Amino acid sequence: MKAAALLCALLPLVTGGCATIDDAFSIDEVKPWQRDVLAEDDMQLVSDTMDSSVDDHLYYSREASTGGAGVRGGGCGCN
Amino acid sequence: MAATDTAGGALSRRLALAACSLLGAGGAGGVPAPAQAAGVPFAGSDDDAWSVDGSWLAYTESDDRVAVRKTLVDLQRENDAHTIGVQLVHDTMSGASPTGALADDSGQVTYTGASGGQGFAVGEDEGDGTRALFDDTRVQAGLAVESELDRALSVNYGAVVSQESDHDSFGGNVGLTRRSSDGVTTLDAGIAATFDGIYRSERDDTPEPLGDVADASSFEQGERSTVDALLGFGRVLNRRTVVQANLGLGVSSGYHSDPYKVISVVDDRQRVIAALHDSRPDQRVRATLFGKMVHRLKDSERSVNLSYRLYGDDWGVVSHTFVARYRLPLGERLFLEPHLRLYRQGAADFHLPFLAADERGEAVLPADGHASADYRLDGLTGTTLGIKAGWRIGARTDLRLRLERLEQRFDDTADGTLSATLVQTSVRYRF
Repeated sequence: MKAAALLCALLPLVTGGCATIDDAFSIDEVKPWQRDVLAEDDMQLVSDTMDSSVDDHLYYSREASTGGAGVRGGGCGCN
Repeated sequence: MAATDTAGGALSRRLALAACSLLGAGGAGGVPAPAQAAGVPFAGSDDDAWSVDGSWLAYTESDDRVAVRKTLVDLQRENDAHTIGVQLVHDTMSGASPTGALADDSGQVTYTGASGGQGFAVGEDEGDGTRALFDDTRVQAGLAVESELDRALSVNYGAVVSQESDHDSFGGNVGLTRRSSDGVTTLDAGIAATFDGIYRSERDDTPEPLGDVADASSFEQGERSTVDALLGFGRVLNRRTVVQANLGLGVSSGYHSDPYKVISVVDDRQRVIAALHDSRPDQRVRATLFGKMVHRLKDSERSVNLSYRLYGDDWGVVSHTFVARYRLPLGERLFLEPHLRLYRQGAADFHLPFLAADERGEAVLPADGHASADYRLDGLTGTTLGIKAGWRIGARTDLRLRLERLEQRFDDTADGTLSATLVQTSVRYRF
C-alpha cells in the first residue's frame, strides 16, 4: 500500500521526467532562422571558459584522471 | 596535463550553432546578452569585436592545507573568419601539503619540502613529517587561434607555456572542425603535445625512485612528453538540445613520479622506520569517453547542462565523473546556476599506504619497483556543490560570482578526507 502511495506521489515526477527526456532527445530539423535559443550563452557546450579553465586545473591537481572535453597543451607541477 | 582554455566567441558561437565546436574552443560565457541570435554579434559589430574576461579566485583547503590565489585574464579579438585569444594566468600557492608519510614521533626520518619549498627535517613543519610547507608562484601564457577555412571547415591551433619554481611546461595543439552542409552535425579531430620539465625547487634534481630519503641518490631533472588526441562528434538534435560525444587518447612517457612525495616503511611493531621516495611507471596511457548534453526546458528560459566522463588508464585508475548545471534566469539581467559534480575513482595499481619491512628492517619492495602513497592515486569519492550568480550590468559588461564546496573521501589514506572552498569572481567587458 505504501509502495502504491509512493508510486502515485512520484508518478508526476516520473512522467514529467520522461516527457522532458523524450523532448530533449527528439530529432527535429532546425532551420537557420530557428537557432535563436541555440545561440544563447547558456546553450553553449562550454558556457563559461573562465570557470572551465579553473575547474580543469583544480581537478587535475586533486584527482588522478583528467581530459575528455578537449585537447589543449599546458601543464603544471601540481600533479 | 592541465588544460588551458582557448579561443571562443563570435566564430565559436557560429560553430556552436552549426553543432558546437568541440576542440580547443569554448563559448563566450556569462549572462545572456540580448539579440545574440545566429550571426548577430554582441556589442553591435561583427568586425574586430574585442572582449576581455578577468577572473580572480581563492581556493582554500580546510585544516590549513593548500591555499591558492589565481588571477586569469583572457583577451579575445574576433571577426567573421578568425578568433584570436590570449590568456594569462598567475597562481600563488602555499600551505602544508601531505607528503604521503605516515605519522611518526621518532624523528628519525628526513623529508623534503613540497612544491616550491626547501628540504627540511621532521619537526620543522607539522612535527611528524606528514606534511611539507611550500610556497610557490606559477605563471602561464597561452595563445589560441581559430580560423574558418571555408563554410564547412575550420582549423584551430594554439600554444601555451607555464613556469614555476619546480616545473616548466610548454605545449601546442592543432585541430580541425568539419561541419555538415545542413549545419547540424560537426566532426572534430585534434592533437596536442606537451613537454614538461620536473625537478625539486632550488635543487634542480629529482630523487632516486624508492631511494631512502636519508641517503637517496640525486638524479637530473625529469622530463616528460605527452601526446593527446581526440575525436569529437556534435549534433543539434532540435531547437533546444545540443549533444556532444568525444573519444580521447593520451600517451605520456618520461618522469611521472612526484619528487616531493614519499612512502613510509613500517616494521612489524607498527613503527615508521624509514621513508622512500615516490616511484611511478615511466609511461602512462589514458583513454576517455565523454558525453555532454545542453537542453533548454520546454516553454521555459531554464536550461540544463549535463555531462559524463568515463576515464581509464594503464595504471589501473578508472573514474566516473558526472556534472550537472541548472541555469535559472531571474529576469532579464540576472541568473542563478546551481552546480553538482560527482566523482569516483579507483586506486592506481601501485598505490600503497606504506611499505612493510622484513625482519631485518629492510623495506619489502614491490616487484615492479613502483609504489606511491600519494593520496590522489588512492581510491576516492568527490562531491562538489556550488552556485553561481550572473549579472548583466549593460550591453558590454557582465559579472559572475561563484561559490563552490569540494569534499573528497579517500579509501586508504591516513588523512581520510579533504574539504575545500572556492570563491571566484569574474568580469567580462566587450568593446
